Amino acid sequence: MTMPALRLLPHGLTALRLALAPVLYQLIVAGEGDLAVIGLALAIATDAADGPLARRFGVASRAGAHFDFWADFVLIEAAFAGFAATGTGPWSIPVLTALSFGFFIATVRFTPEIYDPVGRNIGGILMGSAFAVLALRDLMAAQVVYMVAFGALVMTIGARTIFIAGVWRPGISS
Amino acid sequence: MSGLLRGLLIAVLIVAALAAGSLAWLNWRVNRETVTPLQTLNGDGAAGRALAVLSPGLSAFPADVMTAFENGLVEKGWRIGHTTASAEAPADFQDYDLIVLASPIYSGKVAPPMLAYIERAGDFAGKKIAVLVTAGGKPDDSIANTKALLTENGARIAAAHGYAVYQSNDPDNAYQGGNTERAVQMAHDAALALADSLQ
Repeated sequence: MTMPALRLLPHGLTALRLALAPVLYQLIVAGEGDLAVIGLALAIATDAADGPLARRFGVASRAGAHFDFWADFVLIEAAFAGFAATGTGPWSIPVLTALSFGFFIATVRFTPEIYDPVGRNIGGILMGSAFAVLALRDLMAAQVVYMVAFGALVMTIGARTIFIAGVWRPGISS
Repeated sequence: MSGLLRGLLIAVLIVAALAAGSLAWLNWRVNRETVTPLQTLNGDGAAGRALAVLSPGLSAFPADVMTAFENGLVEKGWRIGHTTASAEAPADFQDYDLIVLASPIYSGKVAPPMLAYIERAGDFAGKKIAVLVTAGGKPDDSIANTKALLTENGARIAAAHGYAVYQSNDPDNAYQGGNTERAVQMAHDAALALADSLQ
């Protein structure tokens, strides 16, 4: 592979993750658990690889970071909307995920000042949760995972709401 | 310790605490029996009498499957007594031609309220039983275990069907919709077929 082609690889991996999102939704709803878990594992691998590769090839950029963020969001939404569409997962998780990512965008410039250890890893927590549901395929284990995901989302939304309200550390946002 | 590591450790601890709390709540929720009065469906039905006992579980899927199965029996003229698995559910089966048991599978076993109901019922005295289970993955082993348990208790298995969430229920593509929607249609058709075979 030539160097210019290699420099496109990180964005290509992110684009692949984005393209996998609707496929993952369809596989979950169709009950194709084996293919869904492979698809999600592939998507998680692209998430782990695209950032380091972008830095290595010197193509890391703000636009690339945004692309990565949106690809993560769409993938997570697709997975949890798929679980909800089967009738066994709660719709509250895709709704809270959208709210959480919205809050993240609204507060991203204050992120260093916000104490939100869960929110900083929320993408990984949610992707790991979706993977656990598909890999374990036990209805009770799935409920535990949904509750963990729900709790993590509530915590990050709560941390950022408190920051916005200026209750936690008044003065930072002013 | 760097800020990133500290943040990650705190995130892991919070997730672990959430998981522990969730497990404790779920353990209580899964073991809790839901008591509902015996409802009669198609009170004029004369083709046969069925007692349908549901362990509702944590999602609507088992109830959807049971409702579809009951609708199938009703279409064939059966009278159905519907209730949930609890200490108050009927355990005297003299008035019934068929017992339908529906339950989700958790960790490879039918839900605790259904297990408790089967134990309380004790001897099914050769009654015909239809078993409906819902599972995350392949339900084959769980169906076999449940059939073995019921047979030990003197039941005659008239039908046993398992429906999965993350495993295709309809590999022949004979039905329409998502996987769980197909399961509901299949449960309905399974009831029609069973009713015909019991004529």
